[in-house]
Amino acid sequence: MTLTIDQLKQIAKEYIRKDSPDLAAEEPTHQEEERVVDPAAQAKLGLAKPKKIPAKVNVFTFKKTVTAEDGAKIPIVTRITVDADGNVIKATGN
Amino acid sequence: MNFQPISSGHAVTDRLSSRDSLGYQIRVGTNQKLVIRMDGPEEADFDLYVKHGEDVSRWNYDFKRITQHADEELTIGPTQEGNYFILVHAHRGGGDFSLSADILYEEVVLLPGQQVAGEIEAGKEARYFRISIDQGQRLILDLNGPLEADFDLYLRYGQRPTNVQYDQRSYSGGSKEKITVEATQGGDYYVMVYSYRGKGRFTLWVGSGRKPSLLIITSKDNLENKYGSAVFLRIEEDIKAYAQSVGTMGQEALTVYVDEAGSLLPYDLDPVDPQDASAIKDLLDQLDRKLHSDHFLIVGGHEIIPFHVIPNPCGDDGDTVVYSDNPYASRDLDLLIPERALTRLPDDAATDGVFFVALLEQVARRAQGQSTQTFGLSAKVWEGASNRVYRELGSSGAVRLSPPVTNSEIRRDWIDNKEYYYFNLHGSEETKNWYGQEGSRYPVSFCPDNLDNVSVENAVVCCEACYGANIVDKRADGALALTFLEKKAACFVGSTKIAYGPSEPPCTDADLIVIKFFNRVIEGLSFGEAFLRAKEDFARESIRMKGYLDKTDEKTLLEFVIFADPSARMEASS
Repeated sequence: MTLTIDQLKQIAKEYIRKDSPDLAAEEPTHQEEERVVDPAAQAKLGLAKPKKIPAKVNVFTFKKTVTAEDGAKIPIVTRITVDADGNVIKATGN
Repeated sequence: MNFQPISSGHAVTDRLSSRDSLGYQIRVGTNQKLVIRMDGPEEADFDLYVKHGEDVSRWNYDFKRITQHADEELTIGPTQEGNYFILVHAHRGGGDFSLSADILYEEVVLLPGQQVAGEIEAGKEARYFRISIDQGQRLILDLNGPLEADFDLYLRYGQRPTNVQYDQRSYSGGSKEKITVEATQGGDYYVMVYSYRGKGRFTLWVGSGRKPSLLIITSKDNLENKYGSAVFLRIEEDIKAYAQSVGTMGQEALTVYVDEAGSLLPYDLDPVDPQDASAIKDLLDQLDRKLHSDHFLIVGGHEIIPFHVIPNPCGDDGDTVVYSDNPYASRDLDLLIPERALTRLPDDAATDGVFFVALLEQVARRAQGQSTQTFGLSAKVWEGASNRVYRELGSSGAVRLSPPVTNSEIRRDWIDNKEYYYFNLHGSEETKNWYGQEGSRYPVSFCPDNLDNVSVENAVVCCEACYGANIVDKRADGALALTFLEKKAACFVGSTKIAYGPSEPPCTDADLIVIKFFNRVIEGLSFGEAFLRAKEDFARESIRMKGYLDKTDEKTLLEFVIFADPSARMEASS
């Protein structure tokens, strides 16, 4: 099963609605991310060659700026990583 | 039949009765030479049978050595990769015998000042090196192998070492080993890197001559231009005092001004532009190849020795660049995985030098604190993940949450005289405060005023707030990282830019790197070493979880910095 970018975006937005409702109104940006380990980093870590994994994932970044109680502007960012089948494989934010 | 694994260079002793047999096996790589030697009873007749890849018997073998004696030698080569199975059969008589198998490699010749990379593909395998050196030199061997494995280092003068025949060995239980010969004999030294357990890549560095435990780098021009001659002299005296205090602890510290010819003359290196981070990194690489220090300390903030300014891997999160010390900590062009135990003692934006001088003087006379308590403060939305991190400190309590806690409600006794401080709050590039969150409410949770009349002396402070370690153009009272250092905290770890983390475990990104750092500090490593290992641990675990390093992993590796004396450590809690 391979979903379209729009379908994947809807999955990410649904996740945001539940996990970070304060960002639910934001339209995410989209990036395709290669699932590769830099060979130099791999060598330094002494890791064996990684097993084959699906090549690309889709990252949806939800972002806005809020105002704290002292008036400071704080960036709020959450990145949702979704694989081609629509599984959310990582959600991280600040 | 059971075939007992044996290792190269290691002799086993066993006993056989007449007409009985015993089995052994050894793993060998491609195109090597395998020499099997057996030394048996004088009156007996023992034979050797060998087969590659499967159990050997007297009827199924690739090689055999049969004489009328019990001393046999069999050379196989070039070998195929895999296990060689060995059968020792007592054809006549019985008794004790010894069996050894040596895998011969072409020796790699190393020169002092050189670092080589190698790989051991299985446990019980070894790699060999030869070093020619003049008499009376100091010889240092530094091995760094995989975390999950247990590699040992052996040294022998004039002959290749084995597990039982060596002059010196280092076997810590991990894969970071070091051997120092204070005064060498003239001639060849032989080195064996041996895998007691596990496999993976390693680096072996060979140094000679003077080897400082700590290399301090800073810029004379930038310090003088910022503070003027009088304050600079005070700072220079403080750096000397710090180096001497390191010396009294049995280490050797060496200070290098990156822009002063006289300071670099002993190393035959030229000064560089102190505004040029790439040139400073190149100089540090050259110094490292000559000196190979255990620890590296950058003295000064962004104005003195600039951070590297790296394009943000997470290009769409609002930060265009990341301030990072990773390139200084890396021995090659890879930016993500550091290899040097490198920290920074930053100055602030003020030009009176008051903060900086106090910080350097405090570092020089630091004695570790006695308290064993912790304090944790988290935005309420990250309660689950923060408590997971906080648990690593062995605290029976939970992190305090903001809201309801705000900066005006923080009690002095909550934060006074603790050993570890952990903060998982929001931060802003504009202000000096850190913030909590519940829904769309973002109260001020912690500010520099909270540290008034509070002792944080000798504490470890880890902060996951965005911009928590942003000290660029900040005065000591304008950034909590600097305020903690001004108040004599031993160590501050934080992020120069927007930092990431999950709201609930499993921990990733900032949560994970802080967990790894706490673990390594509690384990007893120096701050510099703990930070280096924490980044390696972080990268390995991130790859294990997902199969690769994603962009927030990469940004986390780049943006987390440490402000501390790299050679200092927390004493074990009583």
